[in-house]
Amino acid sequence: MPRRLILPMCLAALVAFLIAGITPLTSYASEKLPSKSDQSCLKCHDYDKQENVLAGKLKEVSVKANCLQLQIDKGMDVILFDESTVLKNAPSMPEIPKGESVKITYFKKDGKTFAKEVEVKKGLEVPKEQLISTEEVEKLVAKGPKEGKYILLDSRPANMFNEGHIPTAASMPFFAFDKLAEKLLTDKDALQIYYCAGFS
Amino acid sequence: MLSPLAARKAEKLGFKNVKIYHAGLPDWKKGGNIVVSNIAGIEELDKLEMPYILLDTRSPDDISKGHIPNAIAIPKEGLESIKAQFPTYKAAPVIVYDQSGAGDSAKTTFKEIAGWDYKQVSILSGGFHGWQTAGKTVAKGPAGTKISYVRKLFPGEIELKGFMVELEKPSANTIILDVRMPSEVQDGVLPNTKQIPLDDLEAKLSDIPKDKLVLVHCATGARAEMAYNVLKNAGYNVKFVRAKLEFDKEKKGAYKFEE
Repeated sequence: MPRRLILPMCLAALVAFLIAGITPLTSYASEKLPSKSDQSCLKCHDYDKQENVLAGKLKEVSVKANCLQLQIDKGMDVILFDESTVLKNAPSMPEIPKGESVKITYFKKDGKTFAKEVEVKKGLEVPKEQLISTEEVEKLVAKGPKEGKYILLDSRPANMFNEGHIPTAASMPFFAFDKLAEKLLTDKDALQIYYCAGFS
Repeated sequence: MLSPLAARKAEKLGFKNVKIYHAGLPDWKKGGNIVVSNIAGIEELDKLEMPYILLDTRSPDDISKGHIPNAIAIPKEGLESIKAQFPTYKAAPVIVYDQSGAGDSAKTTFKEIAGWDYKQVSILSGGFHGWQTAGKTVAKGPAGTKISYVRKLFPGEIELKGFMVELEKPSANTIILDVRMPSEVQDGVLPNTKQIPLDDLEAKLSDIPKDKLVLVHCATGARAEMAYNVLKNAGYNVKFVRAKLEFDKEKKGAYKFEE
């Protein structure tokens, strides 16, 4: 959808909403409901300890029916949305890539599930300010971990580290992270830099 | 793709000063930087009986006093004089060492070979000194003079050439599995492939028929190998490809896939 259309459309929707005088769905949103989450989301998030969360993979979006299908493990949930649903990290519902991980804050009304907020978890997209460039890493590596006050951590499997890695790096395979954290991440203040085989 | 996940975990543990070098090792190499390997890397290759090229950059005198078994000495005519002996397979592991690590002779040799487009060149961390100190076997006398590298596949690996044949003309008994993330799949998919992200693989085993040969690819080979292990343990007949896959950002559907 062209960007310039979004604002007028939102405004139009808002006006229609006010005219119709419907009670916003979100006013039902105070009830505490149990969370349900796909196993893959729980690797990095503790949704199981939160309330009103549905987390899984987006299967389908129907704009006509104002609903989306969310796959959580092997089950499928149908969730309704409307103009008051807050959408994060995507320009519009139909533009969320299929299969993408989404976190939905939900509430129930008349036995139906409604989305108060839909947050697209661009799984592995990284905020720009958290990225470090090759030039910066080169400078740090030239100084060494002590002077550069950094610890460079290789997230790939150990055999790939052994075959070839960036000088001064330590091997910290992602799947052994918890086991190695205590041993490797001893300096609270040092800059931790994680790398692997790139974007792919 | 693993590094952002690791960074999230570090943040969960309360660390605030966390960065992600997302461009990672490929970009580091592209910038002409040195890559180092370690003794465990050589030992793993030996254990799997995988061939590699080991180059000793020291003087003939030092070499005859002691060198790493299977090393080849760089002739006094220079590295260029044995270039023709290097294999056509550019992902062949080439390990360069000097006396104690990344000295100038090792660096120069590394850069020259990397300049010939070899992708898996490294300098042995700690050099010959490190090898000796670790109590590893030392060979005496002159080192080898001729490179005789014959490619051997890793356990479960399928050559890219064979994979491409299946990709272009899939047989009914083969299923090609793409284990990349949905966000990567958006950049493009190979024809005749089924997408199941590595993360979901164990939960979705029932989607993969057991009576077929499963060929797995990702974008580098790392996750494909992990998927290979998952499927093999689940009793599948499976192979994986170790190659780098890049989709053209401009031209839809165009891609580069190389070992």
